[in-house]
Amino acid sequence: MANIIFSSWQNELFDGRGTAAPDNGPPANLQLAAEFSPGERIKALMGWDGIVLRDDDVDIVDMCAKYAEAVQQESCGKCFPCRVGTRIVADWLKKIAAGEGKEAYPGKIRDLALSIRDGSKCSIGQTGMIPILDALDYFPQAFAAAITEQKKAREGRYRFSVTAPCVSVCPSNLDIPRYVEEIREQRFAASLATIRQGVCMAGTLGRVCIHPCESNCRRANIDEAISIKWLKRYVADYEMEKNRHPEIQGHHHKDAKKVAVIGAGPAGLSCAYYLSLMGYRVTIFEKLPEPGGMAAVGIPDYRLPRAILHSEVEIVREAGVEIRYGVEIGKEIKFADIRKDHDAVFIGVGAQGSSPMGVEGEEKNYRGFISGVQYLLDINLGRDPYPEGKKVVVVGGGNVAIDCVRSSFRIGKPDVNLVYRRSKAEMPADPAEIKDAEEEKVNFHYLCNPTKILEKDGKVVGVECIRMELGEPDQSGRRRPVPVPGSEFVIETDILIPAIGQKVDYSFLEEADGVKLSKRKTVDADGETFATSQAGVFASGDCVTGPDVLVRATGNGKRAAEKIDLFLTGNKVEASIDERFRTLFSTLGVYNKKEQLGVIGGRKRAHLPMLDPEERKRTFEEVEAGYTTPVAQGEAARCLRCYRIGMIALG
Amino acid sequence: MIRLTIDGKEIVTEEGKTILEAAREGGIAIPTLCYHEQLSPIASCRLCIVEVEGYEKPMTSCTTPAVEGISVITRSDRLLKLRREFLNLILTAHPLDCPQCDKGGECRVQELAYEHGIETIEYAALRKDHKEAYATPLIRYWQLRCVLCGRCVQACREVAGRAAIDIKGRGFEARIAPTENGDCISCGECLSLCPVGALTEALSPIKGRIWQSERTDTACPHCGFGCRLTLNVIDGKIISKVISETNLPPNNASLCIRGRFGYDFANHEARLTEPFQRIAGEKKRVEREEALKITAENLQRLSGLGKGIGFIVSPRATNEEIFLISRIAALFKNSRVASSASYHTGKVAAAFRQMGISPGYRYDSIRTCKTIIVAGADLLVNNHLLANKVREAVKFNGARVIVVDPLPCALSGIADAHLKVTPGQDALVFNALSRRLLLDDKYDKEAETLDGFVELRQALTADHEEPSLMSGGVEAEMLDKAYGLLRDEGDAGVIFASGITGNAESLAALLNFCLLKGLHKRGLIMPAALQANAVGAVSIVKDMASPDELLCDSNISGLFIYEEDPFHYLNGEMVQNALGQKAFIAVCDLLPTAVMDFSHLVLPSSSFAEKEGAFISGDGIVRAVRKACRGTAAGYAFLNELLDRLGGKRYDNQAEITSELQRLGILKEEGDAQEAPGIGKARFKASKKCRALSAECQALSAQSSALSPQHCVLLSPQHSVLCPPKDTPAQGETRKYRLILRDLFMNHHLLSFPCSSVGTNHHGGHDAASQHSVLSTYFSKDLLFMSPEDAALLQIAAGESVCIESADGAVTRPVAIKAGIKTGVLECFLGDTLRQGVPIRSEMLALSLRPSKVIAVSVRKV
Repeated sequence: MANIIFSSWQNELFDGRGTAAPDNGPPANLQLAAEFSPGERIKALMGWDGIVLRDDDVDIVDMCAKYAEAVQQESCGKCFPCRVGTRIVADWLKKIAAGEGKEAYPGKIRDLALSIRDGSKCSIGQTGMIPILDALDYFPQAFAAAITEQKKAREGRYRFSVTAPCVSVCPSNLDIPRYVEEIREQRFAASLATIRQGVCMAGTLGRVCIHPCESNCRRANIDEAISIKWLKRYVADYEMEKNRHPEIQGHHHKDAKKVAVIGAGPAGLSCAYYLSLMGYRVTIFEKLPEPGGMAAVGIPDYRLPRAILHSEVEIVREAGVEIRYGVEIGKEIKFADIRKDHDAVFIGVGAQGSSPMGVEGEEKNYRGFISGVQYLLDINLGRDPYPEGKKVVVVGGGNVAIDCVRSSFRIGKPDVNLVYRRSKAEMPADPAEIKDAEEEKVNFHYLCNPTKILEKDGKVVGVECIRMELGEPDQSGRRRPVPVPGSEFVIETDILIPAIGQKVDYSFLEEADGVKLSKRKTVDADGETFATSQAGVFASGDCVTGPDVLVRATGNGKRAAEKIDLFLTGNKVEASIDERFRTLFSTLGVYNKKEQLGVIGGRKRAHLPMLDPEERKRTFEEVEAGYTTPVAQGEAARCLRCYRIGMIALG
Repeated sequence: MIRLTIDGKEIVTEEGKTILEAAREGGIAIPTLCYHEQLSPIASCRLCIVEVEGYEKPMTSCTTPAVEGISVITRSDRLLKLRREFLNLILTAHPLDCPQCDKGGECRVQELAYEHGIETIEYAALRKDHKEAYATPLIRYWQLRCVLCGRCVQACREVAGRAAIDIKGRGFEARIAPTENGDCISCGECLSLCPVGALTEALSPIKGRIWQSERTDTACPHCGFGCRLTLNVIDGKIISKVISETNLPPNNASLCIRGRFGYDFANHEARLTEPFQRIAGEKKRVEREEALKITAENLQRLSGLGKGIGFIVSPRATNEEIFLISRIAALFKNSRVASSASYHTGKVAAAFRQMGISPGYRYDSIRTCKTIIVAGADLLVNNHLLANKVREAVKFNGARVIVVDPLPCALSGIADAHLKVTPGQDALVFNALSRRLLLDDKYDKEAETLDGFVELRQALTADHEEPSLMSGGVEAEMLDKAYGLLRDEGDAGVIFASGITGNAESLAALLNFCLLKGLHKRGLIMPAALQANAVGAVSIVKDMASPDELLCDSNISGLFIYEEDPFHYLNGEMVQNALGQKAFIAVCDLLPTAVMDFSHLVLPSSSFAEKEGAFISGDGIVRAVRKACRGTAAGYAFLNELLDRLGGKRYDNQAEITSELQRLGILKEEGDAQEAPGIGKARFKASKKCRALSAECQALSAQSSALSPQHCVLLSPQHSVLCPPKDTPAQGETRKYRLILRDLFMNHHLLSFPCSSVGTNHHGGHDAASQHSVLSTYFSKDLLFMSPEDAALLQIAAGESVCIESADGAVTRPVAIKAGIKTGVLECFLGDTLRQGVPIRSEMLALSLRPSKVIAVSVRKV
């Protein structure tokens, strides 16, 4: 960040203006991209945490006036200091910038800005005055000169955008404070509509999302993060419970362009839904007889009831999307034919193949040896994958492994074990899920790894494992497990389930299709445009990223839809202004874990009532009951509404 | 309980309270503008900021929880400076037009600016007046006066359960504007809670400010919920507005459109002032003394001839008036007293008596219910406050709501299950629910000891399979869902109204279900009372007849009609024929009514604002009717003198009648619990809270206090429960449609003089959840509705006319299409007769000679 000449970001002052070499450099943690878009230089930043200046020729008075106007424009009007106060501050600043300022203005602006900062209801007003106060403190001469000389400010070129800590890390870019506020205001349908602007699977994400937003919730700085996920579930459930039909309109012209979507998983559904809302004719080709992809296959009913998923797919259908089930690309229809029949193709297949464990006997197809994904798929389709088998050993430490063990109880397997090569602390599965599995009495075997499958008459009878110990940290930062020589032992079992990772099955593509794969054997698609090596073929979801979280698949599915739209309307396929701001803000960091809010908390988050472990482990009924109306409203009322505005000067 | 200190004073409060609540409990005042006890905190005004020791920033006390051990400061230089700054900002965007503002003298901003010594306004910013229409023409929005506190929006959502208004625009451009959903029901909750003069009542041309008005707390004269309201009276005679800002039970600060805006009949120029005789169609003024004489002599003469004397009394008359009539009637050997209260409340009382259910309940207990059934009750048209209470249960208790109604209604938007029952088949639905309770062994075991249990169980569970007919036209899935919400729920409640009582079997089936569920012991059985004093009328009048029965009783020759108009709810031809048979008819009412055209003598009565007395509301509480306007209570005085002249006792004052009613066991004094006085300003005379029980009921509950509730009786279904009742359209029947008449028993004083004459068409595009609004009955041209499915079937486009034929008549009317109506059902809002110059009410009443809310009809396109 050598080219930065001034920064007051996060109260760390760096002033390199003038000749004197400052004794400190720009703050090390300040990450401000050099360019906003190719060729567009970022000369300055004004935002919630201060001012960053890279170029001397930025007129700070002008930028302050524009920033204040942006605050006023974003003010929701729901509190007096922000609604009226920022109007007055903006007016005064505009006067100064127009060369009509009075001597008293800077002092008056300062006083009023402090009141707005301390008295506003949400962060628009609370943070909106911070860069202006910094400007008054650190650039007094600029204001003084503008006033005494009655000089018009140089107008710069600016862009601004609104973000919030939670929003900035949501892979689906949901307007979280808004939909939470709408719940507080009892506008449940409006809240769901807000969510649906970003994802079409509110009920699913409201149950199984890994909720990065909650780790970025400022409320945690005073007590506990808002339960954003459960609030999402509440409004989705509300619509179903109150028998309401969402108003979804997909209006297609007869001659609308056609898009094929491969895979009815989260990425495909999301891409198809938004394309259809834009007016395209979309057909989804799904291999399985039912929708949901990995959301249906990989997530058991007790976490995500089938009815929820189905109702969400119904919404996608209502939006005008045609879904053709049981059509496997490469078998029933060739990929090349699909391309021929459609104006664009979106590949949204999941990573449903199982990664090999690399143990002896793995490739021999013994009865009782079933991959984790296949095991869950069978169960979800209502089958016991291997009714004769009673004892189950699952290998792996991710969510699929946990889902396998917990599902095993629910199809009546009495003895359920999990083998993981590291210790509990390193397990990648959701800690809440691990806790639930422990409560349901899964036998956990940590620090051991299978070495050999034991069989008799072509059936699995056991697995030989070796003890492990933790060595030096590896690339992932976790300590590498190392086998302890001679520590082999046997666990008898009827069923052995490898669940150590998934890979993409790209057998639907032929060499001649020309869709390039990456080194990791995933579809090679551009991270910004989702375009593959073939024109008109786009891809996102697990087939591009490898196994990843649902909320990223839905988010990227929607973004891919926007890119496909650009492609089909003959525009340049590139990142949008919003996406560029997202990148800018996420590099900069919107949430400051160490921030002192200076207010009292005292309102802990509301938890969901849960079935008793002994009762729940025998049923695929949903484990957790949702919020009731008063609880949801109370939870929503905890939101601090941390919207904030970032403005950049461009050169 | 937690402890904290506020301004050095130790406060002990419950966990979960806010600092503001804790401070108020401790007698520490913190200035507020947007905060209101009835609403969740809004936190827009920022005036209630406080400091907490150890925390850097000021916090709004209305949203910050009181936490154990904290030390709060409510007054400091810093806080005062900020508050003054915020007030300055408020006044920057608020015109100082106090001299012409309705709210002058009782405006929160005025008070706060004064208290904080704001003398100059330091800022200036010009606000643009967008001059947008408000959500209802009954209310005027003064955008520039609006401080955007947000109370109105919050009240609309939280109290009324609507989304009629919202903040539009951002920043300084923000203002309140109607939403696009046409969701307004003109309940005026927004108006009521506006702390400044930004929302004013647009009805009365004169307003009268606080110091120019007298305010009297009284009872609402319309439905039977029993709202308290405050009349703002100018010059001792003109009601200029109704206010409800004081926190009086049972409605607290809420009212509905009728309570808040339905008062102009009292001021109306057509009010009768003098008695007159009709001789050969000619009006002849008579002196009051003469009128008394004519009445007494005619009644005595006819009685002397062995003829019967009939009285029809309004269930909106006071207890005192009804009592006097019952005394007068008692002086004649052969007399009967009728009232339109008999059609609903009378039937409920009879069923309660028969089944031994004690009718006492409290509105507050709705809030503790977890599952609430609302059956056959359109709570938008009548008892709207009950809908608010149900919403409170949802809001505070997460209650689930089951609506049993063929039509969309006030609560169908938030209903978890809407059972669209075929009109008249509610019995089947409740029997189906009872059957499931019995089969699942989920009924209250004590019910086994009740008479009739064995028979009921036998009748309901005889068949192994649930007959498909038993669902009453309700989708099986919905019935399952409703049952699922009820099965294990101990805290359930049932609210019902005329949709149920119109059919004796429905009422019996509903009450059987209640007893099986044990709701008479724990839970709630709540009939809505349709008229302000329906419960009073039914309690006071013994053996109450129905008006149609009485009119058609050929033995009755002399008729005295008190503030009722049978033409309002009965078949006109039938009434006219019956009246032609009477030798003498006297009518006492405050405005000209249809029945007066057939009477021999007309006597002026007085409006509720001139009366002193009491109503018994639907919850059995006696609520005072207070004299707010000058002028005598002409009707009451006439009755008192008539009683005297006929040789009865003369009552000198109301208290004498009250003690007489207590002596008779109709009123029961419940200590001297007083209603809470209002917050400053208006002065109220607190009334004694009495509990009313009809004599029989009281006798029953007295003897059954030890036995109750085991003393209840289950009614065996009269017909085979598995057969559809007679009312069901049979195969091949020509009249396959059911016409449902809405608002049959609205106050007929509103009828001739609609409470608003503002004639805009406000019928917006409603979503499926809020299919209609009361407003539409006032402002919409649409009064008759059918489902889109039926419209498609009959190839009827919106606005086209249909011919509706019944056994007794036919009518042609334009029809509107409304989603959510059950197929095969037509809905008609009777509203006021004179809309568009076409009397829809009498046209519709002509379709059935028998008084009925549901009429079998055929429908065809014309």
